[in-house]
Amino acid sequence: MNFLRALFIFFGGIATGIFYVGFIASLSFPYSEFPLIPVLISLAFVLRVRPTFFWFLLTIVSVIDLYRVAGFGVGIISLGILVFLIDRILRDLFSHRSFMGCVVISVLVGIVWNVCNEVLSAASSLINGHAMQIFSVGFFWAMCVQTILTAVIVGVLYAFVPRWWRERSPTLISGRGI
Amino acid sequence: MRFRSTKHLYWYIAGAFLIAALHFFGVLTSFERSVRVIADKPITFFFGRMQRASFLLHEWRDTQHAADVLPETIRDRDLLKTRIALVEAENAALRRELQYPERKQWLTIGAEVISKTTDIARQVLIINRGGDDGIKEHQIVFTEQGVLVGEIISAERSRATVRLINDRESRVGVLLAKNSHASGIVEGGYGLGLRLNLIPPQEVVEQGDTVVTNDTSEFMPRGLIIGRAVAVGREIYEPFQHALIESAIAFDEIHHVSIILNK
Repeated sequence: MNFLRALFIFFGGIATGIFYVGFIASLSFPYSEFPLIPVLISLAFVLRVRPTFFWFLLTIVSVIDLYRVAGFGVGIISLGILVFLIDRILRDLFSHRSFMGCVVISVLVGIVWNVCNEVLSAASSLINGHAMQIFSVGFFWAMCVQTILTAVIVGVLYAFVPRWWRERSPTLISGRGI
Repeated sequence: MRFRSTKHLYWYIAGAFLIAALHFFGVLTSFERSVRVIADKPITFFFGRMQRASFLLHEWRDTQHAADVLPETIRDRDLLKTRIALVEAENAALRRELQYPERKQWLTIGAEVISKTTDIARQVLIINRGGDDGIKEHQIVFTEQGVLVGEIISAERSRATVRLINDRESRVGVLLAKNSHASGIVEGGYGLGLRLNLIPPQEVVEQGDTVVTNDTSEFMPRGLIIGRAVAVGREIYEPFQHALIESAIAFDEIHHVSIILNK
């Protein structure tokens, strides 16, 4: 069963990565900025899914990284930093059940994901001998679009699937049960 | 995600960093190549289809827009043609009244661009016409749309070199199309742009004004388009105004030109 699950995670991740690189990234702006990864990460945090989902996300960002101009590792390290930071923040601060809690989590994920990506892409370009403008106006707009979309999508999901959401989400405000 | 403990979380993060490190040291190269073999074809398929769909959508929108504005465009064109015919007839009558000498038509020859420079210090084109076709130094080169391209600076038997107007050594006397007032000299700047200098202080140059050639030199005809003013400025310590000119053509995309053999 575990082997089947691992296969599903691996090939599902590759298929989702292919979908992102071949379909979403080839759309024109702003559609190309659809925040698939931030949305998946936000939902993973909000719904408190199994940690196995982490490997699914890792497979997706690895496939996307293979097609990045800036280089492999940007998405993987961004995911690592993001999971660490957001998990630390979520444990003590936000409720997963309230609408505002979900929106704040999505906004945090959107901002941290984009900033990590931009900084790591710039660093990777520098290591590979290319110059890259960090924090350009284009990046700022892309970050805004992605963050807002992430929050809207998670907010809409919260509004439309309340029962399922409440069953999955923790009932207490803090992870320590206070 | 619901990590059981902080230690558990650290293991996951360490796993992610380990994968990045293994890639960095080349351990994963063969595996990554296999994934790319799997992923390349569907991604290329998706990407090609999306690009095609996007192209078709834009084409459809352009067609719709063209269909919407076509009647208006045809009406404007007919109006302009009528006005031009009337003005030409009036002009011919006035010339006859004044016994003004007939204006000669330009004698031109077409040429193909066979080479371009990549040197930022020189902006030149090489064309497939030369001395055998009547090409000589200082003759003027323009595109079919009546836009000035540059000047012949050397001619061999079957080819010639054209200095573009955005070359740093290019100087062209110009007029403002709106009032035909002589308004300065357009200079090139290392292929980076055009600058209109020596604009008389009393001249009013505004953003969007079209700049055309002046016929003060022996070979230069009057009225070839150079571009539009995009920024106008004057420093208090300078006696003349200056402006930045946006060229009417993309110099990197010139493939065919015409040369004026006789003005």
